[in-house]
Amino acid sequence: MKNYRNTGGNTMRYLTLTAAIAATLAVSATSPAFAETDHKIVDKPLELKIQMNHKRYPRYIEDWPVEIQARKMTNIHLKDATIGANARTDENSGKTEALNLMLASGSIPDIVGSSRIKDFVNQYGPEGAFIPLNDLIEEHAPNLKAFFEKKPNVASALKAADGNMYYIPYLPDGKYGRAYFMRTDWLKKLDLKAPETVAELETVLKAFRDKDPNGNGKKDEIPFFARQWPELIRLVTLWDGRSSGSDTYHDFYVDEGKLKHPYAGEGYRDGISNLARWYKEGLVDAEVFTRGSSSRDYLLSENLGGMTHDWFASTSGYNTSLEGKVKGFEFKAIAPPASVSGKRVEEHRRIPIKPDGWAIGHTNKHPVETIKYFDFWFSEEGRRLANFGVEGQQYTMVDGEPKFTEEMLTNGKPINNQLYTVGAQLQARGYFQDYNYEKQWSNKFALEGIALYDEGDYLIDQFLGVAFNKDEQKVYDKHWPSIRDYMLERQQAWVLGTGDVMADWDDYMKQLNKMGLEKVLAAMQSAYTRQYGG
Amino acid sequence: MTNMNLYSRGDKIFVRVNMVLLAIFTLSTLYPFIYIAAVSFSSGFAARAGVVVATPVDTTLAAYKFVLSSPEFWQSYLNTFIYTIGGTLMSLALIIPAAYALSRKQLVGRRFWNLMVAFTMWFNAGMIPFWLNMKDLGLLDSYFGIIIGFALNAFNIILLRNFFESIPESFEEAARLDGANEFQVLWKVFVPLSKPAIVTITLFCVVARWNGFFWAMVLLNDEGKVPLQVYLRKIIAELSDDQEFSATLLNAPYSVETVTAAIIVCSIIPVLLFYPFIQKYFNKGILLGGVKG
Repeated sequence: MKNYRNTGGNTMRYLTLTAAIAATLAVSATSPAFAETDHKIVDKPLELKIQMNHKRYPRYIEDWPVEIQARKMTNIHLKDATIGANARTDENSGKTEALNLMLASGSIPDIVGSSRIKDFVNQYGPEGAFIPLNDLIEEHAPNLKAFFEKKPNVASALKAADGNMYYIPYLPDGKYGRAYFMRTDWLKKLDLKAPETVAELETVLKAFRDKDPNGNGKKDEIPFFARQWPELIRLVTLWDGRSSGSDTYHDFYVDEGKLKHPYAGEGYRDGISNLARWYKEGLVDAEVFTRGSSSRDYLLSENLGGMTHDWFASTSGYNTSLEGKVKGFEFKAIAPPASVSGKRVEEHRRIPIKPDGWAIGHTNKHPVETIKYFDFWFSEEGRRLANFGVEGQQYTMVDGEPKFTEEMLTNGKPINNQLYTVGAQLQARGYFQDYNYEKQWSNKFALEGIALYDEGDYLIDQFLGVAFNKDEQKVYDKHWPSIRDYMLERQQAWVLGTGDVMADWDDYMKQLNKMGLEKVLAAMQSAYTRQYGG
Repeated sequence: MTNMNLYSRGDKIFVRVNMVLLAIFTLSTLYPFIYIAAVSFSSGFAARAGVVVATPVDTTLAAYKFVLSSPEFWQSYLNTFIYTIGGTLMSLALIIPAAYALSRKQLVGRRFWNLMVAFTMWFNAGMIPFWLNMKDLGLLDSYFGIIIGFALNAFNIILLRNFFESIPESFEEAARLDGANEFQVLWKVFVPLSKPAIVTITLFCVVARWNGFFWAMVLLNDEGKVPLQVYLRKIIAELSDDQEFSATLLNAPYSVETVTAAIIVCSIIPVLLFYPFIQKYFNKGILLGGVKG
C-alpha cells in the first residue's frame, strides 16, 4: 500500500522493451510432461541465478539441504548471485538497499527473492524490470492457479496498479495473532471471573489496582500494560471503535466495501474518552507510551502487570519461563470482553499475505521453467519441503503427517531457527506456510488460548492493502503523512488528559477534512474498487 | 588541592563545586561502559526486562560463550584488525605527502588544488554512484577495496597541511642548503617535527576504521571479509526474532541484548589498550622542541 520511492527509478524505462521480448520467448518454450509424483521440470539440469535478501539469511545458500532436495526433485539448480548480501534487508524498517544496489549494478538475476519485495516489484515491475506472472500462472502453474482460485481476495491483493501480479508471496498460515492475556491466578485469588463485558473488565482492572493481588502490601500493580502503545488504543474496539484494519498499526479498514479510517469514527471517539478516564484512574500503565519493548518482561517478572494484548505464541511462553520465579503465575488468554453493544471482537489477526516473496527478473530466458519452479513449492511435496525441511533429516512421516524428529524438538534450539539454517521456512521464497509446522512446538497454553478463540470466532476481515496508480499515489503522499501525524498527536493528548476528546471532536473532524482526509479516502476507494471490484 | 589552606574561602567553594561537577561528568562518561559490561554478564531475561543497572543480574557467562565460540566472530575480529592497520598505514602514506604538497608555496595552482580537496568535504557523489565506481574498478568484495577506497579524508589532509604550514620556512631552507631534495625535506624535517599532528591523524584514522560499518556492509558481499561491526549487526538481526515468536529465546540463558553487549565489550578492549599509549602526544605542545632545536 505504501510506496517508498526508490533511487534509480529512471534507469528502468529502457527495460520495458527487453521485458516484452522476454515475455514472447516465454510462450514458445516447450514444457515437459508433468505428473503428480514427478516434479522434474527439465530433463537436463537448468541453472537459474537468484538474488535473495533476508535479515536471517543474507544470500541464497546452495548447500541448504532443502535446496539440494529441491534440485533433485525439479532439476532446477539455483545459483546464488546476491548483491549487497551484508545489507541484510530488514523486514521491519522496510529498507531495500540491497535491491537498489542490484538495480544499480544493471543486472537483475533470473529470480529475485527478498523480504519487503512488494513495493519494489510493484514499482519496477510495471516499468519492465520484472515479468508479469498472470499469464504464466494461467498456462503453466496448476498449483498456484488452484491456490488463487480458492483465495480470490489474495489474488486481488497481489495486483500492482497495472493489474498484473509481479511476485509470489510468502503466505503465513494460522489465523491467530494477538489476544487478551490476563493474570488468571489473580482473578482466582480475588474471587473474580474472567470479564465477559467491558463493564466487568473495568471492575476486574479496578480490583487489580486496589486489592493487592500480588500480595506485597503495596499498591504497585499495573492493571493494563502493553509493549506497543497502539495496543492500548486497540481497546477502543470495546466501545465499537476500530484502531486498524490490518496487522499494521493505524491502517485504514473496509466497512461494507467502503474505505474508512478508524481514527475518524464515533466508536473511536467514545473509546478514547473512556481510555483517557482509565488512564487517569490508574487502570492503564502510566508509562504505556514510553516503557516499550521491555515492559512485558519487566512487569510480568516483577509480578506487577495484570493484563495485556499481545501475541499468542510469545506471551504464553511466560507461563513456563516464569514458573517457579513468580509464585502461582498464570497468564492465560481470555476471550475478548463484549463491547458496549455486545459484540465480541478480536481486531488483530495474522495477515494472510506478507510483502515478502520472489519475482522473475526481466532478463530471465526461462520464465516458463521458473514459474513451474515457483509452482513446485505450492505442490504438496514442495510445500512440505518448504515448511518442514527434508524427510528423514528434519522430519518423518507419522500417520501421513510430517512430524519433526525427536532431535529437533529436544535439542533446546527454537525450531524456526533450526529450519532457517537448512533452508526451510525461507520467507524470501514464495510459499504457503503450514500452521501444523508451528503447532508441534507451540506452548500448550497458546494452543489452549487459540482453541478458545476458535470456538468464539472473534476475528474480523482484514484490509489487505491497495496498489495506487500515479495520481492516487500523489494524493496519498501529499496529504496522508500530515493527517496521520495530526491524528496521533491528538490521540496521545487525549489519552494523557491534555485535551478532552468529546469537546474537541467536531473541530478535530473539521481539521481532518481540511487537511484532505476525504481526498485520501477517495483515492483509496478508487484503488480499492479497481483492485477488488468494489 | 594538595593544600586547601592556600585557597581563600570563595576559592574553596569553587574547588569543591568543581570536584563534584567533574565527578558527575566522569561518572556520566564511565557509566555506559559499566552498564554494557554489566549487561554482558547478566542473564538474557534480566537484560530484556531492563532490570540491570550497574551490576550483573543473574550472573552468567552464556553470552561470552556464545560469542567466543563462534568462528565468524574471530574471523571478523581479524578482519577489523586488517582494515584498521592496513587502512591507517594506507591513509598515512597518502595523507602525509598530500598535505606536504598542498602546504608548499612552490606547488603550481596551489589555491586550486586546496579548493578541490576542500570541495570533497561538502560534496560527494552519493551512495549508488560511489558503489558503481567501486564496482567498475573491481574493488567490490575485497580487502584492498575497503582499504584504498576510504584512505583519503579531506579533513585530515587540511589538518596536517595547516600544521606543516605553521612550521617556519627557515627549516626547509636550512635543509635545502644541506642538499636535501623534496622527499628528504618531508621525511627528515617535516615528519619528525609534526609527530603530535601525525599521531592525532593516526588516531582519527584508527577510530574511523575500527568503527567503520556502513561501507563495509554495502561493498562486501562475502561474509568472511566483514569487520566486527558488520558481524555485530548480523548477530542482532539473527537473534532478534519476530515479535510473535520472541518466546523462542525466552528460556535461553543469553539474549540479543547480552550477546550485543558481550561483542561490544570484546571490541573495545583493543581500543582501551591502545589509547593510553597515544594519549601523551595530545598533551605535548605543538612544535615541541622545533624552534629550540
